[in-house]
Formats: sequence, structure tokens, C-alpha cells
Amino acid sequence: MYVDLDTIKLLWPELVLVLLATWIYIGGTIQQGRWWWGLFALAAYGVSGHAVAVGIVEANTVSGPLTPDSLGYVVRFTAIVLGALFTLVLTASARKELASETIATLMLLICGVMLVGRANDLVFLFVSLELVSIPTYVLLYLGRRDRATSEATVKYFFLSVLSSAVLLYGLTMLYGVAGTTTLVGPGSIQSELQSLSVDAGGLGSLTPVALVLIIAGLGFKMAAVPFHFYAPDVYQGATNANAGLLAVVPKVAGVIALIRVAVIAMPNVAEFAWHVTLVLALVTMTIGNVCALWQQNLRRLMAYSSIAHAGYMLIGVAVAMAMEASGGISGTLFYLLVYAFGSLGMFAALASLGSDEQEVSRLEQLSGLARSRPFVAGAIAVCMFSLAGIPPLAGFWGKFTLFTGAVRVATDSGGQATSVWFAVLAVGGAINAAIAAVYYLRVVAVMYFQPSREANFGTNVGARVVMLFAAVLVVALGIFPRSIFNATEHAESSALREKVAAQTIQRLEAIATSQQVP
Amino acid sequence: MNEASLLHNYLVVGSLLFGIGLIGFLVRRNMIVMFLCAEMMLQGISLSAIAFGRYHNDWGGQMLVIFIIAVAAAEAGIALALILMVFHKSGTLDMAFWQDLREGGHPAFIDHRVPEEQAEDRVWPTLTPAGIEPEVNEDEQLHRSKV
Repeated sequence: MYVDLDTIKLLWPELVLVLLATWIYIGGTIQQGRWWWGLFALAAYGVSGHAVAVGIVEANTVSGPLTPDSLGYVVRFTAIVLGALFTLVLTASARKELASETIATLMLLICGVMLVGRANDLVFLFVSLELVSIPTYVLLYLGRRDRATSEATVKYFFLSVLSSAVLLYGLTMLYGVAGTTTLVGPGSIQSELQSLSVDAGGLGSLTPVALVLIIAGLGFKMAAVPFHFYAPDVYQGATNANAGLLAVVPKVAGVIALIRVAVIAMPNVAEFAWHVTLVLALVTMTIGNVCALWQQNLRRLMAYSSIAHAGYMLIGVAVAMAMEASGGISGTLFYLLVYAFGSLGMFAALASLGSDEQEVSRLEQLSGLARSRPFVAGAIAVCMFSLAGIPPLAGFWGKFTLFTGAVRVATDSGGQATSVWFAVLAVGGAINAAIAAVYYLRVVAVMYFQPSREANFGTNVGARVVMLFAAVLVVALGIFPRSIFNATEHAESSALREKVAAQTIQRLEAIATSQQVP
Repeated sequence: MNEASLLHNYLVVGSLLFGIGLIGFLVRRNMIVMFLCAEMMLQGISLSAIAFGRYHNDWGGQMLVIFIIAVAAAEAGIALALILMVFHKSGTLDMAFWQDLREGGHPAFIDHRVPEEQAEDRVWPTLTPAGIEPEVNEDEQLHRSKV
């Protein structure tokens, strides 16, 4: 692994974001005003997105710690779109004197997600994940200036430091077993682990420990059991915009990192890995959905919903671990996109209702919203229906692909035990979808069937635009899911193709060495 | 002593550091001590990474450690700023002070083992005066910034 000029060229979209974020930090001290820097940041995302789009043409250059597969491209485009949308929300809702800092910090965070999407190296992956977490602490603290925000930031910070230490210990053990930091390719962790399975024992016994530590550490970013405790408290203490950011962006980074490390790069521990992931998926879904049932605080409710959705995503990961090329990665990715836009729409709607004096945080504040703010109520209803998985919205297709993946493993796999486990997983997922519908529909019922209350809602233009965009996207993806399906399926096959190529190379090498011996 | 047993020793020490840090993080309530415990976990990880790198004859482990140190420094910067701001708000470093955000209807945690703080306990440490008392310039006191 080495770094040369080509690597810099491949990193150009991320470099643009870092440079312009620095420029915003410096310029924000001279030029005040939120929309000035908000529009500047939007232009930066535009430039970066264009650079990514241009880069697809030369997609096959492997250079340094970057992987050129199209999984990375899907993640980078998603990150840029999310970055632009959150910039709109935050520009309008951040405090005026802190607007430029908030926007620039968000830009660094998005850059971290983009780097996670294409990391092919343990060190690179670790630094990218830290580039996601460290700006998050700052953003959380910048949100508001009261005790609740401080408490949320402190809790998030300490648990995040702990979880990144746990993740790092797992990565170190993985490095220790394989003796290299490259994830996929010739002479990488992937091929080393495959050859290890032949002569087990020695250092190879550390692989399961590494896997458990990695899943636990990344579980924090995804808000999955056992590191889910922070989510309700932190979301409740953060502003609506920041809670939306926490619900979406670190989850994207965590899921992609889990796919890159635990699914693609660690093949020979699969038998043990999918058991762990499957049980975690079931427990996470159930805890999230059941605890959300009696929440009155909207952000707390959405936090439990975010935990539950992490559980659904783990279904796809378990499917991908149990059976190669089974559509698990593609399903997880699709679900991730659907969840991201549904959740973003909900939080943007809440942010658009808030004003400087008052923030919408309790469920009864939404009562009668359908009469006083019909558009906002409609957008919230669309997002809620999508998150609940009601056809024909996008959330339905997300759940549909994940559950069919589990059923496919249950029917096609050879082992009796595997079939039973995945059948239980599919049934558990379906039951959980039913439980989840109760609290999502309760929000809709409060908006449409309860008497209107006198409330002075704010008018946050940026958040309103984002909310409408997300709602339209959720409906459009529900009616035409094929385009995104194609992209995610292509991402899966291209991410796994390198795996297949590495296996082929290894097989050829094995044949060559066996012929040399006599 | 062969390579494998040497590696073994380092790994044991590394895991001990990680474990002590983890236990310290979980049982202590002082925010600074908690952060130091997290740093100790990172030291244990660094030691294991270097040992693995030495065993495999690969630079990757040392590279990982350099990045761990850099990231830990960045995190320490944020941690100190955050702890300072939070201390200004609450006047305490006790983590158990922060429990406003919790599940509805759940009682607050009150530590009964710690005696109630009295007014006379709030004494700040002082330095014994020594040497010649400096002359106080009245004029300077007017425009001097209050520390």
C-alpha cells in the first residue's frame, strides 16, 4: 500500500470539502450572516458531487488505501445529498453568530462519511470514523446553550470515546491475525483470513474476539444493542436538526463500515458471525419498537425508532454474512437510503415548526396540525407511513427486500438450523413491523384527529424545503424503486467482485505452489 | 525466548491496560478520570498494535499507533473544552449530576453513601502568604481585567 499522486486525484472530492470547510471557518470570522455561508456550502457540495461524478469514469484505478467499487460511489453521493440537505436545515435553524461554524463542521462530518464509504484499509477506516465522530461532538454542543444540550453532549462524547476504543481494539486484533492493514485485494486481511481457515489455531483464535469487538464498537454508531442506551437521552437533549443528523449520518457510516469489515473482509468467521448479528438484530428491533410505544417526547420516540431501524439493517447484514451474493448488502443499502430520507423528512418537519423561543418536542404539540399546517402534517404523515413500511411508500420496499432476503436464506441454505434461525428472523421482523405501526400511526392520528391547539409555530424556510424534498423522494422511491435497486445491486456485486477476484488469485497461487512442491 | 511468547507477553500487558481502563471508565464518576481511563484503553490498544507489528515484521501496526495518538490528542482537546464548559455550568465534575434526561417516571439516582455537602466543606485551597507584600497600584486596578 502506498500513496502517490493518483491517490490525491482520487481524493479530490473530499479534499474540496475539507479545504472549503477551512475557508468557511476562517471567512466566518470576517463575513457574518447565515445564508451567505449556507449558499457557499451548497456550492461546495455541488463541486464535490461533480468531482465524484467525473471520477466514476476512471473507477478502476486501485490506489493506496482507497477502493474503487461502486458501493463507495453510492455512499458518497448519498453523503453529499444528505450534506446539502442538512446544510439547508442547519443554516436556517442555527444561531446566527454560530452559523458558519455549524455549516463547516457539518462539512467535515460529511467528508468523513465519504471517506468511510471507500476505505480499504484499517487505519484509513479508523481515521474516517473519527472524522465522523469528532465534528459530531462539536455540532451537538453548538446546538443550544442550555443544560439539556450540555448533558446530551457529555453523554454522547463519553460513550463515543468508549465505543471507538472498543472498535479500535477489534481492528487491532484483526490486524494482528492477518498481519496487514489492507482489507480487500491481494495480500489483504481477506485473503489472509481465508488461508488461516486451513491451519486454525494460534493467532487465528483471536478472529472471533475481533469480530465481536468490531460489531459492538460499530453498534454505537448505528445505535444498535448493546450500545443503544445513549440514543433516547442524547436525541432528547439535542435540537431537532441535530437529532436528525445523529439519527442519519453516523448510522450510514456505521453500517457501511460494518459491511466493509465484517461482511466483505472477514469471510471465514461467517458461521459464527451471522449468529451474533442475527440475535443482535432481533433484540435491537424488539427493544426499539417496544420502548417507543409509550414515549410522549417526539425526539425520544424517534430515537427508539432509530434503534429499531438499526435492527432491521442488521437483518440484511446477517443475510449477507450467512450466504454470499444473497442480496443482503444491497437490501441493507437500500433500506439505509430509505430510512435516511424518511427520518430526515420527519426531523426537518419538526425543525421547521420550531422558532427561536420554542421548539416542538412533545407529541401533543402536534395535535391538530393537519388544520393549522396542512403541508407539514402531510409530509410528517408520508414519512411516518414510510418508516412504518406501508405500501406503496419507499419503506415498504426496504422491509420487503430485507425480509425476502431472510426468507431466501431460510429456504435455500443447506443446514436445518440455519433455516430455522432465518425463518425466526423473518417472522420476528414482520411482528416488529406490526408493533412499529402502532406508534407511527399514533403520531398521524394526533395530527389529524385531535382538536387544534393555539401554538405559535416558526417558519423555517430551509427546513421546510428539505422536508418537502424528503417527502417527495420517499413517495417517488416507493413508486419507482427500480433505479435505486439497480444502483444498490450494482454496488453489492462490485463490492463482492473484488472478493471473488481475490479468491481466484489465491486459488491460482495455491495451485502454483502445489505444482512447485514435487 | 521465541517470537510468539514475546508477543504473548505484550498482548497480556496490552489487554490488562485495556481492561483496567474499561473497568475504571465504568466505575468512576469524575469526568476527567473517566477520560483518562479511556486514554488508558487506547494505550493498551497501542501496545498490542506495536507488538503485532513487530511479530509480523510490518509497519502497519506502528502507523496505526501514530494515528491513534493523533486522534487521541484531538479528542483530548475537545474533551478538555467540553469538561470546562460543563464545569462552568454545573460547578461539579461528578457525572451523576447529569441526569435530567432520562426515561419518564424513572426516579433520579441519589448517592446516599456520599455525605451531604455542608457550607463549611466548600473551602478552596489557599496559599500561605510569604515574602514582602507588593504595593498595590490603585490606578492599575481600575483598568485591569478581572481574572
